[in-house]
Amino acid sequence: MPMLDKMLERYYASRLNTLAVTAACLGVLGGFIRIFWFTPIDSYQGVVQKIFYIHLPCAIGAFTAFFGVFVASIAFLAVRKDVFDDLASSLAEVGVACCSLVLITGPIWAKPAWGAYWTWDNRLTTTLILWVLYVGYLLLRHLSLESEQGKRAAAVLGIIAFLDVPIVRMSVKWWRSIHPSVLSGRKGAGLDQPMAETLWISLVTFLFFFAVLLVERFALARAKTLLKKVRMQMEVC
Amino acid sequence: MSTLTATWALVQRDFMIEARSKEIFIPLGLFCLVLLLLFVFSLSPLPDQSRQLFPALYLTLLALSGILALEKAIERERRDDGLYGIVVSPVGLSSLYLGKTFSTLAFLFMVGIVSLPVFIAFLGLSLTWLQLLWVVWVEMLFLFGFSALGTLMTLLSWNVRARHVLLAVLLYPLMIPPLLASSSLMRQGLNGRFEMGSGWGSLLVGFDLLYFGMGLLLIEHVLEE
Amino acid sequence: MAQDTSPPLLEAVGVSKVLSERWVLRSVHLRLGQNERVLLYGPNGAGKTTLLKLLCGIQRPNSGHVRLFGHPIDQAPRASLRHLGLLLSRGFFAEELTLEENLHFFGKLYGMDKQSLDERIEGLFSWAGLEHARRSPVFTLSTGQRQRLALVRVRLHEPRLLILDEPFNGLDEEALGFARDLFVQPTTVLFTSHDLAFAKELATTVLLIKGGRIVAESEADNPALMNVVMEALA
Repeated sequence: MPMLDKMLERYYASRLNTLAVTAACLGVLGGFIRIFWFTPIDSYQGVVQKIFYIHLPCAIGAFTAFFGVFVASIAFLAVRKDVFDDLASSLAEVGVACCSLVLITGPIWAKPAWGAYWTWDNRLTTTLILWVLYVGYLLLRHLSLESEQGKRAAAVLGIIAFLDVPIVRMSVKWWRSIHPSVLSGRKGAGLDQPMAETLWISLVTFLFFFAVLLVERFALARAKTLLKKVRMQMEVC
Repeated sequence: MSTLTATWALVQRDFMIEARSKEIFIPLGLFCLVLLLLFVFSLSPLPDQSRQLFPALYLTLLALSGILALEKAIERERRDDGLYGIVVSPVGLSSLYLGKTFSTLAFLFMVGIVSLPVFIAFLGLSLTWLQLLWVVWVEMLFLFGFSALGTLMTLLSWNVRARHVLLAVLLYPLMIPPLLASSSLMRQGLNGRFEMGSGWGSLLVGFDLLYFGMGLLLIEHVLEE
Repeated sequence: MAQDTSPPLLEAVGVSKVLSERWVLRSVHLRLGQNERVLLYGPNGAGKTTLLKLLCGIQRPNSGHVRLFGHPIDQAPRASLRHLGLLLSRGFFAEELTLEENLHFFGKLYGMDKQSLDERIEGLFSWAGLEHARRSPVFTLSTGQRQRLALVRVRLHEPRLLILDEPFNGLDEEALGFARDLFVQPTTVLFTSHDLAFAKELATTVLLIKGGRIVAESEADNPALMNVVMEALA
């Protein structure tokens, strides 16, 4: 897709990327400041509740990224353009990074709140399985040495893994569940006004950060692919 | 040449090869037995516990040994490039997938049937005929999903380095839902409840159908070199 | 190649293939008309086998396209593949099964009925001198016998087009004699061989391939063939 590559080129040539990266970092920093200094402490859970402002954006980021891998994989198998493979691999990496953060922040919060680092609860278990699946996906990509066949294999896995998510979720739900559902209830876990605002701020800043991260990663993947193409063309001449 | 006739030809040939070489059935059965011994020794369950443990143990051990059957089934086709012979024949690629899925299912099912009495004896279970039938039925549904997804995943990971480990790492997490579903169904059966209409029943059947369908749909992308 | 107005059985247009970041084939054009017998000759690693794999659809080209029996290869109806006979370096056999069982399996894949299949196998076994081994498992065969059996498999369903990679590998004098039969019948053949002197007798055209490109083409009965070869592959 030459148009996309042109856009990326312009994005970097105009130094817009420096601006974006700086903004993303400052945004996250600002989010932290807001979370720790300008948000009231939860009356039941205490300070540890604050981790939730980081936990939730990461979870949303991870899930969105994995959905993106699914879509990009279908597109790759349908039209076999490298750009979709690059997109899928970048999304998977960002997704695994987010998912790892979810799995790290979750237990830190859970220990004081539930009294245990880990419980075999619905969402926790689903997230863990998801993480294993996508680390496996990255492993497959790594071990197949970027061969054409490896790219197709990764795409097939990207589709299969995502289709497994609802099934995993349903099965684990019936298995057992204690995770609080924050956003579903009208009052949820009881967020008052400033806390809800902080949540929205951190959602926006973190997701923006992940998006910038994704663009950087994707541009790198594109550059690698294009470089390879140029090298191959030079060999022909 | 219809898809079904071609599938049948492939399954038939797999059975003939197995009848000569016995490289799946006997090693797998033994492996299953050895694993059972390990588990029984290390867990040393009390009689009432073993009734609870049985479904999970039985299905997990079948899944553990099943991966060997999956690899053998594909290795046979790779050894003399037999896969090419089928790919360039007028037979559709879906027949290849169907053939491999059904022969793996058949082998694993037989291993399961043969090892069932051993499990029952070692764990000291007493089952009614109905419960026995139920166990076999649920086992078949589980193994069908396992073979359908496993065949696709084995072909997918074939040309990758360290493929043996990778296959296990990729396949087992995907198999968690059907494992939960079928062990719950079996446990319900052991407690005298035989219903497929519950959530677990539809989840298991849904999983089987979904991945069987995905296999048929995606096999051509996996087979192309 | 001989000019021919009938549509080609096999055609490659500007086919290129990249494998592990190397150009294995670069814009290869090839046209195989009815009853042509084309020898693909070139040094090891020239891309011969890859080209054959692309032409029968085992691999897909990175650019360019292949047409088999007039259809783009990825859309060709599966039934049209019954007119293709393919021989690669390995035989596609199940080691544990007997020669007969293996051939029956392939016969079934090609939709042959039992009666004609039995007769056909009978005939081909005596052609290839394998009657005595028909009930032995394939793994007991020697290299040469395996190659004979592979030739039998290729001819089993009477294909109109043969694609053969090194068909004479491991064959003894006697086998080389009957292997010629593959070429005298009215069939179209694309084959590779490293034995130019022997193979050119069987071909109508010789294509010279080097570094993934077709570098020269010559009539097989051209008296200056050796010079062309020396020049092109030097």
